[in-house]
Amino acid sequence: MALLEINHLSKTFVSDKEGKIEAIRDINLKVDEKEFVCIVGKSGCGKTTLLRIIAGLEPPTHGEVRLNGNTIKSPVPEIGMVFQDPNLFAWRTVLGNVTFPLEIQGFNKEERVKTAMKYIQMVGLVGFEQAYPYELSGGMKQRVALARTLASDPRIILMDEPFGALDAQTRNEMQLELLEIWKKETKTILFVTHSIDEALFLGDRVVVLSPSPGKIQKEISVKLPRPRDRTSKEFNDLRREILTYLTST
Amino acid sequence: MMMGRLPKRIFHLLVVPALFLIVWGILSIANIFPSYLLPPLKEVIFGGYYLATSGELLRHITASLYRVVSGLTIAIFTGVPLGILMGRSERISSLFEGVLHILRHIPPIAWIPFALLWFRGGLASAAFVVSIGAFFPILLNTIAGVKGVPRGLIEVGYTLGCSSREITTKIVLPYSTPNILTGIRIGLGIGWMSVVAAEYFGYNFGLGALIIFAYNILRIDLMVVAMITIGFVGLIIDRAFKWLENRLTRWRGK
Repeated sequence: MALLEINHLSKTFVSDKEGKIEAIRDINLKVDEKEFVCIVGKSGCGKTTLLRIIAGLEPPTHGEVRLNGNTIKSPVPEIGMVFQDPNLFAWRTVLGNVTFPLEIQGFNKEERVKTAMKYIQMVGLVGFEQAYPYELSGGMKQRVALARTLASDPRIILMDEPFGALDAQTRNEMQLELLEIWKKETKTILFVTHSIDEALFLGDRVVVLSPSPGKIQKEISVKLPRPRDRTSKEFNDLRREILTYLTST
Repeated sequence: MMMGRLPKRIFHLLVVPALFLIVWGILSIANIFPSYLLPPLKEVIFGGYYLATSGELLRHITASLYRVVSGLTIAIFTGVPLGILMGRSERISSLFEGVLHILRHIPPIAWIPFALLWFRGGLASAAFVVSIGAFFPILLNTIAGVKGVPRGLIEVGYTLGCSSREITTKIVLPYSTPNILTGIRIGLGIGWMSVVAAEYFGYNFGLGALIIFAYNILRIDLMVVAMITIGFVGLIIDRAFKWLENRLTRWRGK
């Protein structure tokens, strides 16, 4: 059985001003344990809505999300989420942000600091434990957000364009680091992006979403060995293929 | 040369008060106005010196401060929780909004007769009047802070396993601290003004009581001493609180 099962998921928003807006239609997707799946699509194709429903932040209009067979109705500790905005707690230090989920889970102070330090080290922020978010760069903030989610020890991490606001150089570094963490921590990752390059560099599988309403256009499994060479012929063949799917609608 | 060494800002701050004192001094010596309209500068200085050295002034100041702190405490413990509830829940907000927006326009001094009738004078009456004045800025700033919490932060909280209660105590409350502290500082200022009025009736100590006492025995110099003291103490507590505010919210950066 797949770890995460998405069955016939649809979402229509109803607003007074704009009437009905169909965000996603009949999405079916299975994600296995330890898989890295990327969802790629143009902005406004319902990627974020899909992730928010999976996270339990938004109810679907039709269909359901199942984790290990249990329907998701509200946020659960097994599903973590990293947003495009790091959403750090500005009044807490880096260490305070990362210990936050452990505090909620009721660990004692010693355990909290120990676990948090492990993840702070993993994302390369040793030496910045006592820094406040305003003192950090965009990339560092997103690293803290990732460490905070990792500290809550979810089985699946949903990532909504987490590197979208970063410069290209930092973005590539973060992608490499994320792959390393994914291997080390044996997490399942569902990663949403509008960058074909990013999806191909990261994912075991790339799911192409077509816009308005968001539907699954194509699923491509990426068999290239990691770390992937963005300039190789195979990589670019896949890139071209995905681009055709994205522009065909 | 001497002035060149003084920091420019301090010099600027002192120019107008110095001119004011000079004009006052000249008018006093020229004896243009009767002393009950404009007390001579010399008398005010002597009166101030007497009140300060005898310890009487300090006793008035502490009496007023004690009432302000008591009233402010009441306002904090009612205004902040109600502000959080109103900021978090549309329903609670719409329940209270109407009444509060009417009550808000009734000045604290209008409550003084009721304060005396209900609490029969003493600390409770003055603290009540202060708490009315301090309550609204605290409430309104708390609501503004709570409503300003980005939705993303609350959603992160939920995905990290927070209960609704933990969202309030661990995210909404700390996020709103700067607003709450601003509300308390404004409330402190209004409370300090309200206490003077509250002390006009039925108090032996307090800066308001001192003004009325001086007025009754026509010691205009002491009235002025009390007024100047109110101004200076108000300035000091405002600055002290501002300093505390900055210390507590250093996480906001520059």
